[in-house]
Amino acid sequence: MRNVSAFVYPLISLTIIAVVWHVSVVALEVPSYVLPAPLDVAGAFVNGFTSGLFWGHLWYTTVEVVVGYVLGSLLALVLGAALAESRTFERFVYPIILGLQAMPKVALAPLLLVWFGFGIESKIILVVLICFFPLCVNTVVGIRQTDPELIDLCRAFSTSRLYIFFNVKLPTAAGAIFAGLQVGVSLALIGAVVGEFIASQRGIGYTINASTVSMNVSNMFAGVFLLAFMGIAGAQLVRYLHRKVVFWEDEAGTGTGAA
Amino acid sequence: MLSARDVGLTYRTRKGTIEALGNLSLDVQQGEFVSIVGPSGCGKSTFLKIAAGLIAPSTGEVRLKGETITGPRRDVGIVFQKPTLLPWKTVLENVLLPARALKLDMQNSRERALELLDRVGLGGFAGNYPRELSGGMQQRVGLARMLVHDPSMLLMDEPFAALDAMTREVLALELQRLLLAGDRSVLFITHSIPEAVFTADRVLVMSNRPGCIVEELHVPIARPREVSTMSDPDFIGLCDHLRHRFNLTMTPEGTD
Repeated sequence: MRNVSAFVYPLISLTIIAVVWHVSVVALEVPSYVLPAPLDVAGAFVNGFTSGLFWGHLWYTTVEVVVGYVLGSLLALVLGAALAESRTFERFVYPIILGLQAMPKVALAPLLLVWFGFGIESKIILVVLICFFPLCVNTVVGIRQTDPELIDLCRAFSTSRLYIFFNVKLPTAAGAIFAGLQVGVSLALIGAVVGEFIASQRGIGYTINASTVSMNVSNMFAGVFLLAFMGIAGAQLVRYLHRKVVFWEDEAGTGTGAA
Repeated sequence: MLSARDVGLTYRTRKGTIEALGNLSLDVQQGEFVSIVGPSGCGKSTFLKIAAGLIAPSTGEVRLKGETITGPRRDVGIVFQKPTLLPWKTVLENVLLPARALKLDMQNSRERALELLDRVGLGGFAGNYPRELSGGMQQRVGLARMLVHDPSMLLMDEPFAALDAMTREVLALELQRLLLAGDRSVLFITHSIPEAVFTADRVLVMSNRPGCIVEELHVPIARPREVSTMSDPDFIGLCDHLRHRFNLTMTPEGTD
């Protein structure tokens, strides 16, 4: 019952919003190039898929996001683990990472275009950069949360450092790591779309941008909704994995999730 | 079995150097149960960590079976105040942790672990996760884990301190039952005088920082001891004696 109501209640609010939207557009005679009616947007959405227009762009953006996200996350895990384990490395590198985290990575997008060209590479690298930092910092913080007594106990059994890392520290950090992965999903989408806005011939970001030229606002809305669906799907997937992998922790602090 | 000679430990903090232990000497014979009582912050736990090979002493040395301790040893079993179980491993896997770390034969260890779980009254909980157990049950898992690799020297750092009074008594009895058959030596740290007397063959009283042994008391009460032992006049007499000694140690004149 819970699962059903988790879907039903937001659907009811969405329906109300759509109805109000529709009525306002019709009653106030808003021109469609400013705000199209919800049915027009739905039409553009369906049409985008039936005409085959969206598929290629959807695939392109998905590749950017998935490849960039996976690479960035792996890099963040490895570097985060190294930072948490090596005092020297931490002294030299951690302050820089904390500093870079404060910088808006999208500001690098034009530079990345100059360096890596207008193809998919520059977008992937932007995605890597943007989802790297929160996960890296979370990994360091998570590993440091390890109970020192637990480490002492393992050391008393002459356990190797590697064993302690994989069997004690990494599982301790798992909750924080998944929180970082969760943040990374939405950031990865931002990275991909910004990259496409700046210079691209493909992708959903490009579709939205290109629709401005023809003032096809319905298409813009359809693109935005498509991105929203991608974000929700990705976040749900990570949330599902979080629950499965870190089964021993309560799900407190991972946000209010439907499902 | 275990012998500490003039063990001292000083460490530096922002506020200056702190002398945690000063010339602490003690012996634990083969098969003997020695309890250390002392005020909190006197360095009891620090000494235990030195004996476990986790910290190196600044001066003096600790020998186990005649060999100077330079690092962790496989013939030592350890348990802390907190159960320190891995929440992502089952009870059985937690008990098996030392066996895995020491790369013992897993088939034998598994049988031994299950038998130990039976003996601490957790026979039916091998497949459960720690969060499904009460604090007392978690600490029983800790006891089983301490024994799984058949250590000859046990180091116990206030293992029952975090438990409620009832569970504490039950576990003290169970610990005795667990150890009665073997020939293990035990160094048991506590801040409860009755617990020290109840469990030990010999009680050592530790002074305030820098900690050293200021009193030694033999407990000539026969084993197995029962709950009724705690109302025995001999038992009460020994506790009173220690309490008196404790108060002397704790007075301002006794500290520096």
